[in-house]
Amino acid sequence: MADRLQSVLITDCGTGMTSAVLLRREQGAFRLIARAEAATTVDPPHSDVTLGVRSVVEAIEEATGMRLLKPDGDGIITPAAGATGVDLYLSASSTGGGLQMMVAGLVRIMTAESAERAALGAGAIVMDVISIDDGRLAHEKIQRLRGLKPDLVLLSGGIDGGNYRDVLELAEYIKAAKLDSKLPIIYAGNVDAQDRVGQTLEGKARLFYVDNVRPVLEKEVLEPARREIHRRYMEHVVARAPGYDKLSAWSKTSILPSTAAIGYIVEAVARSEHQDILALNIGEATTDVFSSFAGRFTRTVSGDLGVGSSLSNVVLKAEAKNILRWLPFELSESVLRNTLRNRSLHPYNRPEGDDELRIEHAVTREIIRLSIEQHKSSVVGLRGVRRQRDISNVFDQKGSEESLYDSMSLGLIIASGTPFRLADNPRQVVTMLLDAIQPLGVTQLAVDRHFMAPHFGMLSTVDEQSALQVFMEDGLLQLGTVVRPAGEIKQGDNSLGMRLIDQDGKVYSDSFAGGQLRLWQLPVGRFAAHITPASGLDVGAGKGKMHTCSMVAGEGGIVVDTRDAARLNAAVVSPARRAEVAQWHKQLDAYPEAKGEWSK
Amino acid sequence: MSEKLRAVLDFAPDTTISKTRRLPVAGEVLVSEGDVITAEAIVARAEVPGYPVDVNVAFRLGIEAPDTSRYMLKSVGENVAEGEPLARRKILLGLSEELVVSPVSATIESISNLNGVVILRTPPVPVDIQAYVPGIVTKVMPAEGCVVEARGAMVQGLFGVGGETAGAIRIAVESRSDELKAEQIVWDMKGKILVAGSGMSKNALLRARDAGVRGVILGSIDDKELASFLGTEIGLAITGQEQTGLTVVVTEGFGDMPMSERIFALLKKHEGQVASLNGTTHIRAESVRPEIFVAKQ
Repeated sequence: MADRLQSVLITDCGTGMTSAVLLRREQGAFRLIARAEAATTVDPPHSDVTLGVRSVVEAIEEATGMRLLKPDGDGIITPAAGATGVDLYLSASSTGGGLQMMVAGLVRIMTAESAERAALGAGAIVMDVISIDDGRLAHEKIQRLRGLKPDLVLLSGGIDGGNYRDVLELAEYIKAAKLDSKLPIIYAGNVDAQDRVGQTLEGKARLFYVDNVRPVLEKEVLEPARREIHRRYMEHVVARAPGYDKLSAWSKTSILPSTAAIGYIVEAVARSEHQDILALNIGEATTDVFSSFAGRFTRTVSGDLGVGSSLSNVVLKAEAKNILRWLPFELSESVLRNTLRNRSLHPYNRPEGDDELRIEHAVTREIIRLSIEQHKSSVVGLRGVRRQRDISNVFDQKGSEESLYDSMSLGLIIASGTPFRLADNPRQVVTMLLDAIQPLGVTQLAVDRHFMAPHFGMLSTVDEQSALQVFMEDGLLQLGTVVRPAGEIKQGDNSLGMRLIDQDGKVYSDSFAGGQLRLWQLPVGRFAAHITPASGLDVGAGKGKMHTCSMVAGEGGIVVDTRDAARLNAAVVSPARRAEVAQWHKQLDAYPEAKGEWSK
Repeated sequence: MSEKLRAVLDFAPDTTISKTRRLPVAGEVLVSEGDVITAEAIVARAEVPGYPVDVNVAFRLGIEAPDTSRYMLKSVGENVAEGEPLARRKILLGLSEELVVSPVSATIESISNLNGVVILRTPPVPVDIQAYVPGIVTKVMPAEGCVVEARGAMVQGLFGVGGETAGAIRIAVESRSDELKAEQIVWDMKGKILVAGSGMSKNALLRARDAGVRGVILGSIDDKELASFLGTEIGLAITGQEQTGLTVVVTEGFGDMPMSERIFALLKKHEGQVASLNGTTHIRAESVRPEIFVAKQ
């Protein structure tokens, strides 16, 4: 099917914005032909998601001269015939707060964790994880189930052929909670317990069975549970939102949660690039972090961190002083709190003026920091597995409990979401990512400038190669590469020397002192790089050893970051700190014409 | 920012509103279609199931879980009083016995022979639903509730705390930009809804609550003062459940802003009339804003 596709229309219905992209195959490869945005129309007075979809499709029709909507406006013309219609129409959605799930499993760090990974991978917000060993009394678990009102429950537990008594106990909690009898419960536990679980929950919920997420301790099988979650999401969540019955009929494939679609494209990038990657999606209410380290893909969602309605929560979790430390101007804690409260009350308003923009960027740094902190604890190997050691790994101290997150091995960071889409220039995105993530060694940075990851993620479900190619070429803006040595950097001392050779053989070389953030303006393109760090510093080959690699200079050039980590992370709000932050922004020319009221 | 924020919120000096008054669980509707009712009228009544309490009988008696039912003195559906024996194990050939007593007055909900746990449910709690706004019952949903239609002035606030309340409006400040200070709150404000100009401090809010004021309408409030009054920080903007004893509706936002001219003028025009006030705010999906409604007399 994928080879026959010549044109695809993809929409994403977000909480505030609906967007569409039109792709057409030209000389064998898909190209982005047009994209459009309009307000989402799920809420009153419209109460019909297809009105917003029609608006974006009409905008694409206007831009391309094509006819895509059926004459009565109720659907997309498929297949394509000349300048009329497309071969395939796909859609993702995150309206209505997305998919909210509860997960239950026997042991928190084993089956419950595997079930949680399946739910997160399916794009869900996991409201709570209930396990036999979570330390709560039975009635507390039951009250929690009753109080949270999830869209779906994923019940797992036990390896196949193993313990099923405890799984039945979990089923009894669900029964005692007296949830809506139409609530879908996906059972992905010990297959031997299926009949007994069915008997326990008969008439109390709608039960669906899939393969065990942890059939044996050494193996996770998440895909069947993920697919079932998507099916139930379509039937029970999406179908309830106004107009989605019509939209579902417009597309021959399932509407997926936007975050699931983003996960698919990030996973595809990780596989194709053969390097460790990190991707962020900062939304109005939530933040998703995706990563692939040592081939293990992980997604986490921080359901209470975002740049809209969750802003007032960010200031509580991050603490005001940690936000204020990223501002180059003086601002009282009280003004910061009131400003963020007001922004959270009107989540779709964007920052007005330079000062509000800088405050949003300061908050974004803390959202990234907090969500990555949470993510790191989930980036682990399969837990509960007894590791066999031989002489080659006997000295390897990294257990399965230890995070696989490695700032040095991180090769690519992809930034997606509102604050990056609305940044004034690519250098602002670079400063936010560097301050908050502080990758080590050589790391490439890219931004999903127009928030097209959900669209290309949807395409990847039918044609992964084409989705990857068009996402990397047309979806991502290459910001460039950052070089940051690991080790104790001495302020002012020479920290590293770099020699770059472009594709025509032209050589560029420079040396970099410690304690600075420097934008090395180079022509956009790929370079062969030889980086020699000072003794005691490491950029990927070991302390003091020359590292040879290939790197890209993008819109943000090549950035060399030799700032001392302790200084960078200091939670200090002082005139000296403000001057330092202003200096960093100036070194990258991130806010060239800042003239806000507070930043005068 | 305030004008921009306010632009999308309702401001209607004369409008008709419909309020769906729904029970949390099935119950009895006490009004009929066409009834003219007051804000305080109870329109529906139900009993909400009590909370579950688990007792690990098998563990407490030192028996195997599958034998739990055999040792029970009560069966599923039976009532048990606090301190009443639930299960018994005779020891020393019946010379002595081990008892498990109920920690609460409840009904036996389930007895599990899988884990030996008995789940009790406390007695149901009666719940009354009031009309909240004075008007006419236009629809009755059997066992669920009703719809009340009312005509009057409706203003949405930006943010609020505390649930539904009602009281006569009293303008407590000279102008919309005046702060209502603690010392201006006097005892005859009991039961009233105060219009407080630009804002109130934590101390003024506490004094209003202690004086029996039912609600306050403010132009703005400082975030720290509000947190201090509530005794907790509000993270995500989902409110309405706070047991504050005082409903607060903020019309313009956080900080120090005067109440908008038209809202102040409208409330002044209706001084002395009963206003229905609800601080419930949900900023996420299915946005809910706080509201002030004054029924037409």
